[in-house]
Order: sequence, then C-alpha cells, then structure tokens
Amino acid sequence: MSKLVINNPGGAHWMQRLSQRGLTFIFWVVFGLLFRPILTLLAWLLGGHFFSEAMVENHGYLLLLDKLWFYLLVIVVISALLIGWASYNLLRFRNNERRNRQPDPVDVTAQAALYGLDQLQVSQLQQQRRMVVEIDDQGRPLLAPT
Amino acid sequence: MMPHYDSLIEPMLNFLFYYPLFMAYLWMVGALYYYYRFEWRKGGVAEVPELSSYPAVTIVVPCHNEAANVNDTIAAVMAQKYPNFEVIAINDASTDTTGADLDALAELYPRLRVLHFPVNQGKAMGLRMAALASPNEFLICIDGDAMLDPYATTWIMHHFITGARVGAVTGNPRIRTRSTLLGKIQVGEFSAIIGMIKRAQRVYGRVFTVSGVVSAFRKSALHQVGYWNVDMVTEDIDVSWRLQLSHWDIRYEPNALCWILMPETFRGLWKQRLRWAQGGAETALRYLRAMWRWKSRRMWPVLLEFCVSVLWSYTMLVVAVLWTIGMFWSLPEYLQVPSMIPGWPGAVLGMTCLLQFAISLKIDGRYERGLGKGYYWMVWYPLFFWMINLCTSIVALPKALLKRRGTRAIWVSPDRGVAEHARGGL
Repeated sequence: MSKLVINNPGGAHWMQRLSQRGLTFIFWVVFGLLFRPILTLLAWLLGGHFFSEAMVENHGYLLLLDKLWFYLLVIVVISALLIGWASYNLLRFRNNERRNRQPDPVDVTAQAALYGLDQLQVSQLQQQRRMVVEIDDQGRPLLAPT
Repeated sequence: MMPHYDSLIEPMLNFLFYYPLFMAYLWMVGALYYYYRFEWRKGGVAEVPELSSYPAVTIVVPCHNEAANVNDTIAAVMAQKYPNFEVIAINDASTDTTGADLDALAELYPRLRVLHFPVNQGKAMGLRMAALASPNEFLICIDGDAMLDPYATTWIMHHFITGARVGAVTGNPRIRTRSTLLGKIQVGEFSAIIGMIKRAQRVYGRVFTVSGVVSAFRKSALHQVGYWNVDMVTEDIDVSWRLQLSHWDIRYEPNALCWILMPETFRGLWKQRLRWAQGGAETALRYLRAMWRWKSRRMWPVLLEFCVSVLWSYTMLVVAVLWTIGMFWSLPEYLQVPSMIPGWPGAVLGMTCLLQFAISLKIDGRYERGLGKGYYWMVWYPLFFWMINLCTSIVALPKALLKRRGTRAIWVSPDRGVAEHARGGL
C-alpha cells in the first residue's frame, strides 16, 4: 500500500522549489508589515526612537553599510582566491598528472637495510602471527639472528 | 595609504577580531566548495566505489592499556567489508590484560597478528615496527580505542588506487563519548571546526595534519620520508608535514568513519589539547628551515596559518594583561584597552559562529542522523574551546622551544570519557 501522504519535494525542479520558498519568505515579510503599528509601539517602549535618531535621521546606517561592505569585499576576495586556486589546479593537473604510475612497493631488502637487519629476519617477522620485539637505544628492533 | 593608529591597542583589537572572522568564512567557503564537488547528491557511506583492484592492506592498532576497549576495536576492524586485509595489534607494554586479550583474540581471528613490546616504546615506535612486520604496501592506522566503520577500508583504498601521488588518507573521526557537556561540545567541534577545516584545507591542496586516530599510508611514501619520528609528541602532524614536503598528497575521506572516545574531564581535555598544540609548534619549528625552499611553497600557507594563530593567542594574552593592569593603574592612552566585553565585533563573530555551525551540520549531517540536536550545545564552543585552545597555544610554544630533541615520546593512558554505564560528570 502506498503512503497516504505524498511528500516528495525532490520531484519538483529546483527552480520551482526555490521560487516557492522565496515567494513564501517574501510573503512572510509582507505579512509581518501588518504588525508594524504594534512593532513600532514595542520599539518605542524599548527606546527604538534612539535607534531611529542615530541610524536613520543622522545616517548612522551608512557607517554600518560601509563596514558590512568591507566585510563582504574581504570574504569575496578570499573565497575567490581559494576557489580560483582549486580550479586552477584542477585545470592544470586533471589530465596532466606526471606521477600516474603507481609507485613500486617497498621491498623487504629496503626495509631491512633501514634497521641494519638482514632480509631473512624481516621476511620471518612478516610471517609470524605472534611477535615479541625488543628495541635497542638506537630505535632498532632486536630480532633473533637467522 | 597605510592606516594611521593613535593607539597601539587598536590594531591589536582589529587583529583579534578580523583574523577569526575571516578565517571562519574561508573555512566555510572551502568546506562548501568541497561539499558540492565531492559529497552533494552522492550515495551513502555503504555505497562504496568499485575498485579496479583490491591490494592487501594491513590495519595497524597500537594499544597501551586498552583492555576495556580492545575487544570492540578488533571486532569492528574484523568486520571490514574489504576482501584482502590483515590486522597487526601492538601491545605496547600494557600493565593490564591487553596483551593476554589480544593473544586470545588472535586465536579467534585468523587475520589478527599480535606484536608485543616488553618495554613501553610509544605509539610512533609501535607504528614503525608494525610497518616493518607488515608485508603489505598499504597501512591503515587506528587507535586502540577506536571503532572503524565496516566500509572505511574501501573508501580509503579508493584514493590510493586512483591517485599515484596519494601518500596518505585521513578519515572522519566521530565522537562516541557524549555523556557530559564536554563530550557534547566536542561532537560539535569535530563537525563544525575539524571537519570543516579538513575540507577547506583539502580544497587548498595541503592539510595541517592527518587525524592520528584514523589515517592510512602508502608504505613507499613513508619509507621515503623515514616513517614516523619517535621524538615528536604528535607523530601524526610530523609525518603529515614530511610527506607533503616530499610532494606526496594527503586526501581527506569523510566516508571513512571511525568512532572514537574523547576526554570528558577538564584535566583530560587540557592534557590532550596541550599535546596537540605542542605537537604543532614542534613540527613548525623543526621544518622551518625546510620551508625556505621554493619547492616547499605549497606548505607556506599551512605554516603561515599556524604562526598567525599562535600570534593571535599571544596578542589576546597581551590585551588581557593590559586590560587587567589598566583596572588598577593608569596606563598611557595608547596602551589603554577600552573594554574586554565585545560590542559589535562580538555580535558579528557570534553570528558568524552560528552560520558556521549551521553549515557544518548541513554538511556533516549525511554521516550521522540527528546531528542537528547537537546545535543546542554548540553555543558553548566559542567560549570554551577558543579559551582552551588559546591557553594551550600560549603554554605549548615555550614547551616546544625548550624541548630537547631526541626525547622519545612514550604512552600515557589518556582520559577516554565516561564509560557507557557510568554516571556523567559536567
């Protein structure tokens, strides 16, 4: 049996969903304007006339907009730098990766040489299921001689 | 034209305000870019990519006094949905039953091998010896108290198979300990800060560090840089810098989940964060000289970000000290701190913080259902963690400067949060 309520917002085009949400948001704002007298009264009670004097009559909002404009500018510049850098690398290296062959795996000889061990000792270590390893002062494993 | 300041404090206050503000936006933009490029509309964690081959992998689990957790950890590792792997567990001179438990588990799981150290050698030495004992080219290293998601190995291997330049892959640690306020805050921190920074750094191309609790390595890359250093307090930061300075890529894989325990006491958290801060400072100091090469230029922003964040902590200290002195003595005008209570800058930072949390929850929500509930607790994060990170940065730098090179870092059992059935603290 299918669900009684069909709720599949993903079925609509994204433009449709965006416009529906956007229009609804705008309508909420318009709707909120109906309450303007009550909001004005509350704002007066809370000293909103000072706000009106400082921000509107004396153009304080211009200073705020200046500040916000500066923040926005910096954020846009740093975002453009980061995304620009990522895109540049993507374009430059996407089909031009110089290291496209998988590196050769490290072999036992190379590993043994690092710790001054012989190859057989390391091969045996790599096959043991239970190991007890002591370490000397130089950080080298003390393995039983072969 | 250079700005003219009548006060020495004003540029410091501007730096204190603008640095975290613009870094937060840089992280957000980077994380969103990463999200829309690599995560958006992609399948879930269980929908793993098909690999062209499935090379053998060794999962390394260093343990020191992990008797309470090792059964869960090994069981989770053994449930990996990857066809070709073995596990090497290292019992690093545990004084509890970890060694015996691991030996018993090896009877149960044929894929498990156990390496015992009679003397405490530290995590880095454990990893070095596991790499030596492993016959495989790929190593996934997780902590002895962590639980690896069954699909993690495949997600990690996808990067090694498709990228010959990939030297390491770092996974996505998820917090298990959420009994206390400290635990809950850390859930938010790992999503909002750590996950976001990792994504943004990945977009840039270089990361500050792999997560020591879940990271994977190509052995040939490790061999080239000399494996893990045993004298660094954070071997993960150190190896990440060396790999990247040798031009190996480090990738971040958010689908490689690993469930971890974190401290839930102030003392435990302080010790852990101090260790992280000291590790960062030690690494930056050690590779400072290697940075002065044109070939290292891609690491310069990583170093710069670290240095500026330490400078920010010390600037905050200076301002706080001047403000305190100013409460008791009259200071010259150019040194007077008007107030430590943030006005508009505080509001702007607060809004930015909320935006950052909202974006991180949106991005990270796909890995964990119900993460949004954590938003309620995240309000503590700016105050609490910025303070602890600030203090640890200030204390860590002299510790790193004064540390004698070559001192072996060994295990100290950390705080691992409140046990499942115990009563919560804070």
